Amino acid sequence: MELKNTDLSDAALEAHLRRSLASPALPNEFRSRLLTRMVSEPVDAQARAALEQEWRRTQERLLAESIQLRRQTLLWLLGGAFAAGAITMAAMPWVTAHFGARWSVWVPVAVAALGLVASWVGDPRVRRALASIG
Amino acid sequence: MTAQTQAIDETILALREQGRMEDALARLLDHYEARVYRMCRAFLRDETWAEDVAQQSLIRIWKGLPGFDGRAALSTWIYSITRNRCNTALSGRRGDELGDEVLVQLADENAVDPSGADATSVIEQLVSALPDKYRVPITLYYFEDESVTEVAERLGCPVGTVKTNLSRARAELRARLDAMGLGDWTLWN
Repeated sequence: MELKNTDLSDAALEAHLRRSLASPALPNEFRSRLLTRMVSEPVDAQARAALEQEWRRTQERLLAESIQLRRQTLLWLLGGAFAAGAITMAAMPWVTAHFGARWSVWVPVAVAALGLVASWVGDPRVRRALASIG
Repeated sequence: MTAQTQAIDETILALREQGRMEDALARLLDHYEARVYRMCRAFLRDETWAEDVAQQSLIRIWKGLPGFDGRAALSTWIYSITRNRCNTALSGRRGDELGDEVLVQLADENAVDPSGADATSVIEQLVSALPDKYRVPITLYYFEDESVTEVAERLGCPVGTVKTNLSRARAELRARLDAMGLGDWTLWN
């Protein structure tokens, strides 16, 4: 029994350590800031030329990535708006027939209430309380 | 040292010999910048401070690369520069005082209601309060995909020493959790 408790404690500690000490990602634009800093350092001519070349390459890559990201975001927004409009148009007759003319008020309210209840039930303390009642 | 690191080191040194310093720099940063940064995070904890010291280390490495004599492996040299930078940065601060502050604060927050404690946050703060000789290896161990060999290489010490310090760090954490009344894992979220 003692061994079992120790194993459980070891496994739990290990899991929490793994979660707490997740490997950190490099800060955004770390390389860009590093190269800017390197360029201002006193180094020999060959090293300086290499740094400047790498710095220019990084700047070009960052610019290209930013343009690509903006394009993707715009496409997602347009696509999402179009899809939402199309779904609403297609579903409106069916929703009106099933939920009445005032569906646009109470269906969103019901969905929001459902979401709130779901997040409340998802809380570990509430789950423990429900389990103890059950 | 992993086979991948060894191959990268050889490539960097070959590029240096050919005078292709920009390619050498690109390879060096691709392979080492994240590793050096993680090492600085493990030593220094603070994100901004770690970034600053990681950049200082990489600049020092870059400036020293043309004169690197190959007596040790390139990775060993890189990590020893980083380690020295971190130790120099740390020498101005006393980690033990921070540790005591964190423990007092945690004891106040959690003594009453262990079930309300956020385990991840508590563990994070307890690790942060460990003495450097335990905190750095245990942090690096999880940062580096739980590889004892990688940690030993970063810290420039034998694998056995790392294993011992990891085991003592865990024991210390368990003892501190017990002392705070948080040793019963069934109460945790």
